[in-house]
Amino acid sequence: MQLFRSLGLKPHLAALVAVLAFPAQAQSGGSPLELVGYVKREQITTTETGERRVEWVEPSVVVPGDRLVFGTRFANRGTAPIERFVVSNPVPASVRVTGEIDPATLVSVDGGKTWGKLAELAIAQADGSRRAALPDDVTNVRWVLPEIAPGASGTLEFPVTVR
Amino acid sequence: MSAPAPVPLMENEVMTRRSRMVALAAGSAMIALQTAPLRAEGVTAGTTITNTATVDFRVGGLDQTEVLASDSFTVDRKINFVAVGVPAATVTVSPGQTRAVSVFDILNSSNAPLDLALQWRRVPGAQAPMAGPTASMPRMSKSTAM
Repeated sequence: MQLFRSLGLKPHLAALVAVLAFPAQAQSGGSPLELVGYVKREQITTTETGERRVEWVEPSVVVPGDRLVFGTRFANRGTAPIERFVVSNPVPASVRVTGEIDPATLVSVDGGKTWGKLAELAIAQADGSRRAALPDDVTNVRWVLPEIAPGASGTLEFPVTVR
Repeated sequence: MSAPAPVPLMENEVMTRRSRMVALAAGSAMIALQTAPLRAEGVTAGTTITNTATVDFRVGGLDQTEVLASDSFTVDRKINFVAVGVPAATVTVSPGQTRAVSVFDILNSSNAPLDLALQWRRVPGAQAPMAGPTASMPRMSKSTAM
């Protein structure tokens, strides 16, 4: 079985969340959850034929303006399903979320007090009025997966730019 | 994954500066006369940025211990500055003249402090019979990661 869900980024940014089923492994008493956080940097190269190629590489050098992906890999190594799997990422002040974020992703623009899709959120301004929230306003990102089957794994990502 | 930073600084430290350099045209010494702090352009070099994920979940209807996963990297230096003569970069020095000066504005828009040294270069063929040698500083501009 192979199931793909778009939860993080648009497909052209390799933002698919892949939940892949693997043979279940016996749980040895510890946590069934395997979790790895990672950061990738966008690297654009031009081939000899002039074709523009985008790769996501280990960020050995990062400077302001670089485009990154913040990601989390997960896997259920246990024998029982993982239920109500909630992943929350605060957005560091040194980066800003970009417009490529999947509009279906749950986000917060107030430090995690309230959550919703970006298009549903607003920012209170000094004069009392409210404006629509922008990707730059996002302070936290969250995903909620109802269940991860034994042996299943996947990836959750969101795009940022270094301020 | 992270590269060592040249200068660890606080994230909000102001480090972009405009300096005015005055050089004795007949010599090689240069003096920074004024510096005016401006707003830094970009995250300061040396800042550590961390992607942290906090995970809550249940197994068999029971809440499990919260799990964290993270990955960090350090912001590197991005060099970006401009040096330009004020009002012009070329100074004519008469034979025997002393204390002739040339003024340059240097704008450091990098995300880290920079140590810069300006060097004189005599313009080839610029020597006039009555004007004596001429020294000049070409406009400099560079933007790169180091």
